[in-house]
Parts: sequence; C-alpha cells; structure tokens
Amino acid sequence: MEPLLDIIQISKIYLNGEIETHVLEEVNLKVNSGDFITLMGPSGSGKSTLLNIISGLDSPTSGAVIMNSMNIVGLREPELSAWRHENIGFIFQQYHLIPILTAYENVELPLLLFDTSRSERRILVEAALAIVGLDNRMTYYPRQLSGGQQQRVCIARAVVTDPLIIIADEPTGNLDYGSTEEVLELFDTLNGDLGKTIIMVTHDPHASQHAKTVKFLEKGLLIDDKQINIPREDRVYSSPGNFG
Amino acid sequence: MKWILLIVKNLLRNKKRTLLTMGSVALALFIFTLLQTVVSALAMDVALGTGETKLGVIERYSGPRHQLPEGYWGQLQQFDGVTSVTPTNFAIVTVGMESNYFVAILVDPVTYQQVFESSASKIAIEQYEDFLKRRNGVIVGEKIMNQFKWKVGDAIQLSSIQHNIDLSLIISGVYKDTRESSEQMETRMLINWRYYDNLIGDPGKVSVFWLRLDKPASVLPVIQSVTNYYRMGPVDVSVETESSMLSRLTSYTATIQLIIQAVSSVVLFSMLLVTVNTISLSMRERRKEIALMKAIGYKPGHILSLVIGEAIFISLVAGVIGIFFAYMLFNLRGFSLPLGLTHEFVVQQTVAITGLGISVVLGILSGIVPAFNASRVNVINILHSL
Repeated sequence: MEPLLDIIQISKIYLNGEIETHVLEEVNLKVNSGDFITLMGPSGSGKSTLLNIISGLDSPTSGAVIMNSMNIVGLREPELSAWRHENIGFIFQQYHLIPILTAYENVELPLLLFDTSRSERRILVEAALAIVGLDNRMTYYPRQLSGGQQQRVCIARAVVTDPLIIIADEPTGNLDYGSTEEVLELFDTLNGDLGKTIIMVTHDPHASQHAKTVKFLEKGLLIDDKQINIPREDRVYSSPGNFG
Repeated sequence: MKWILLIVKNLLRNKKRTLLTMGSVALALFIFTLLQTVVSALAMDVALGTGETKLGVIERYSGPRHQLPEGYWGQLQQFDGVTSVTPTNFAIVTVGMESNYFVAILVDPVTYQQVFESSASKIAIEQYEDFLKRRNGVIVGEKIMNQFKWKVGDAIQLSSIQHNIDLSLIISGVYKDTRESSEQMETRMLINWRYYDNLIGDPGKVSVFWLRLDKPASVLPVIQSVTNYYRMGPVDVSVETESSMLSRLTSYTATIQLIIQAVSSVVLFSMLLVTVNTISLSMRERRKEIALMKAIGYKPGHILSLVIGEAIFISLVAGVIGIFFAYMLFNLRGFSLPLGLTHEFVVQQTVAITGLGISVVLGILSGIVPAFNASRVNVINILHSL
C-alpha cells in the first residue's frame, strides 16, 4: 500500500559562515493513513526541523517529501501555502489563537480561504467545536478561556478543514495534568474514532504512550522505527533514555 | 464581506491608534478638499468663458481696477464688426452685516442683454422688462434670494464697500440657472450702472467695455483697429477676447493655485508617512498572527491584500469623514473665506471624487511597504517552535 506520506533520504544542513551543522541525516519515514506517530528525542535532535519539512514550512537540503504522489520539495511559497491549507492541520504548543477573534472566528479562519458560504462555514465550525467539546464557548475570546480550552480551540481549527495529516508540536507542553489528559483523549478520538493521521512531537513519555508508533531522533538520525502494537502497556521503547 | 469583518476587527484591536490615524487622515483630506475648493472657485471665472464673439476693452497698463472714460462707449460702437457695446463695473455690496457681502455687476440693462444675451435669457422676460424700466431695479441671484427669503418686488437696502454709499433698490427679477457653471451668477447681482454711477462722487468711469461682434472672423480686425485707434489717445487700451480677458483678470490666481497645490501635496505626503508608520507598527505587533496565518495556508498574496485592505479602509473612511465635513462647512453652512475674494466656495463633485480617489491611493501607498514586509514573514523564525 502506498504510504500517505513518504519521507525519503531527508537531510538538512545549516550553514553558519563556513561551519556546517547537520540537523537531519538521510531520514526516511513512511506515514500511512490513520497512523498516530510520536517523534521524540532530546533538544536539538532535529524533531522540529523534521516537522517543519514535513509540513512544508522548511525545505530540506536534500531528499524528498512525497504526498499523494507529489514531491512538495521545491514548490514555490504560494503553492506550499495552498498545499498546507488543503492537507495539514497544525496544533501548536503556544496555541497561537488570534486574540481579537472569538473561538468561532479562530476556527473559521482557515475556512475563509475556501469558496464556501457563510452557512456552510457555520456548519463546519460548529461541528469542529463540538468535537472538542466547546460548542458552548463559541463566542468566547481566547482570554476568556483556560489553557486547555484554548488548546482545544486550536485542535478544532486544525481539524475544521478535514486535513489529511494533523501535525502537533508539543501540544501538551503548556498544559496542566488535567488539561493534558483531555487533549490526549481528544487525540485518541481523532485518531481512533475519526481516523485522522497524527504526527506529534513531544518530550512527554506519557503523551507518547497515546501514539501507535513512537520514533526517536538523536543527532539528526532516526534511530528506531518500531511499530507499537496495542495494548499500549505492552509497547517496548528501544531508546528509552533521557528525552528531557 | 468575510474579509471586511477581519479587517474591521484588526482595526478595532487598538481603537485609540486607529481613531488617531483616521483623524489625521480625515484632517488631511479636509484640508485638501478645502484648498481644492478654493482652487476650483478661483478657476471658475476662467471656465465661464464662452465663445469668441465678445471682446473686453480695459485700460492697457494697469488692469481692470483702472478705468476708461465713459466717452469711449460711443466711439467703440463705431468700429466695423462691432454690433453692440456695454459698460461693466463691479462693486462689492453688503446686506446688513458686513460678512454678507456679494459681488454686484453694474450694467447698462439695454446693452447688457445685447452683449450677454445668454445670461440675460436666464431672467424671465417680464422681470427683465422691469429691470429695463426701473432705474433702481436689481436682478438678484437665486441663492441670495433664498438666503434672505426675498421676493420679486421687495425693497432692499445694500451698502457699497468701495464707495461707502447706500443703495435703495427694488428687486426686478431673479437670475436662475441649473448649470453648474452658473454657481457664481446665482450668488451675484445685476445693478443699473447709471443708477450707481450717479451716487458716487467720481462718475463716468468704466472698468470694462464689452463688445459684441458680428462674427468670430471680426475678432482680429477689431482688436487691431481698436488698439491702434487708442494708442495715441488719453487712455491706451488693451483688447482681448472674453476668455483671454477672464484668464488675465484671474492670472493672479495661478500663483495662489500653485501655492495651494504645493501645500496640499505636503499635507498629503505627511499623512502618507504617518499612515505608513501606523500600519508598520501594527504589523510588527502582529507578526506571530501573520506567521500563524501563513502556516495554516494563507498565501503571501492574501496577507498583502489584507494589510493593504486595512490601509485603504482607514484612509477611505477617514477621507469620507474629512470630505463630508468640508461639504458641511461650505455647502450647507455657506462658509466664506475672508480673503476679500469674490468667489463662491462650494465643494464641487469633482473635488469630492478626487478626494476619495486620493484616499484610496493614500491607502494603497501607505499599506504597500508594511504589507510586503508582512507577506515575507518567516513562519519558522516567528513561531519558534514547529
């Protein structure tokens, strides 16, 4: 079966004067539809860079990122924007909600780029907010919401366009224990019940336990690629070192 | 429409800053409209020039303030190609308070209608006949009639500023015209020259003799023959076509217009800089939001359009406010500048439309640099993570 996303021999080298920093070294990764992959690794291991490249926000020094038979490496910025809009949903550690917009309007923001009517947008936004359990907070501004609620709005914004892949960068990094659990349960719902493909970067081993697959990055190398089979308590981590 | 909401919400994010910026731009457009209205009024006299079958004769070296002897009237009628001659003087008259001043054109009713038949035709026949018969008759522009709620047949008292005399007049008729260029005549009066001349201490002087010619081809021969005839006379004359005469009469306005245009440009340029700074500041504060929008799929062109849209929205709304206040001031309040000029200050449609156009251009120009910078925001650098 052709993978949803095929990352082939991705390398990323930053040049600082004459000094080369190898952030990623020939990374290969296949993501199938319905996967829930966690990327773990110490700071500076290249997790975020890999996520940036997967989402088309950064370009690799070499290699290819294939999605639906199309290599996104080398696309121009407007083409990448359109590609991201159609295929990627983002969830950030800092939520990045727009403070002057209500929860409803924040979720509606990516839909404005589609040629959809107001009533169509309303149906989609309300459905997305219902999934995250905030359909009773639609008119609230971010400042009126708790951290966990803001992150749930961020999740609703990520799923409202029905993207092929949801990319989450430390989604629980700013949350307390209770909110973390709520968000992770939401991820389970999105992946398990709704079949969404999720790639998540986290430092939190507990959060990673919700994923079906855990990948470890160290010094730019993907050092393990073990499929974790349900049940989660039986998963085995090949590099259970200190992930900071 | 969906973008308008986003634009308005962004503008309301910092209400004080938006209001101050809008206020500045509105003030600039108000000043622009005010100045352009003055320019427009100054240029109106020239624009009123009609065909080339009329010639104006004035004293050659000193301009219209220096006058010709009345005796030239009969002499000028003798030239070949001249069908009629009418004398014209001007007076500034006040109604009651000195702030209510108007231009009165002192005319000979009989010959005025022969030379200026187009203007005379705007007055009802029976009213003009009354003007012909009544020595102290006056034809009043419709706007003045409305302003003072006068009626035909009313007796009115006017005062002349130059000659310090009182005029007791009976309104013979109303000058009424629907053409835009008639604004001036509707704010002026026609008074019998002979009646006025007899009241002043130094009668028998004429500012301009207007000649009606039989055909346009007579213009050059008449100019040459009249000029040559008076070259050695007691008062040398200058003969010009009507449009040339009007241009000459208002030639001083060219310098004024130049100064006004320069001031307008400086005001608008200053506002451009203020608006650029405001929009740039706003964009710097919103870099994370712009980066977020780019991350979720907004193209650089979307960001560019939204930022320029904000700038246009600010300047257009401000422009409408500024022009509206200028309109209220001039058109509804009948505001008049105390410049000693005789012009009617009315915000013309063209000035208002130009002002709105400038508002849009100001918005585009002020938004384009911040918009370009915003569209180039590096998502990774701004959002740090991801």
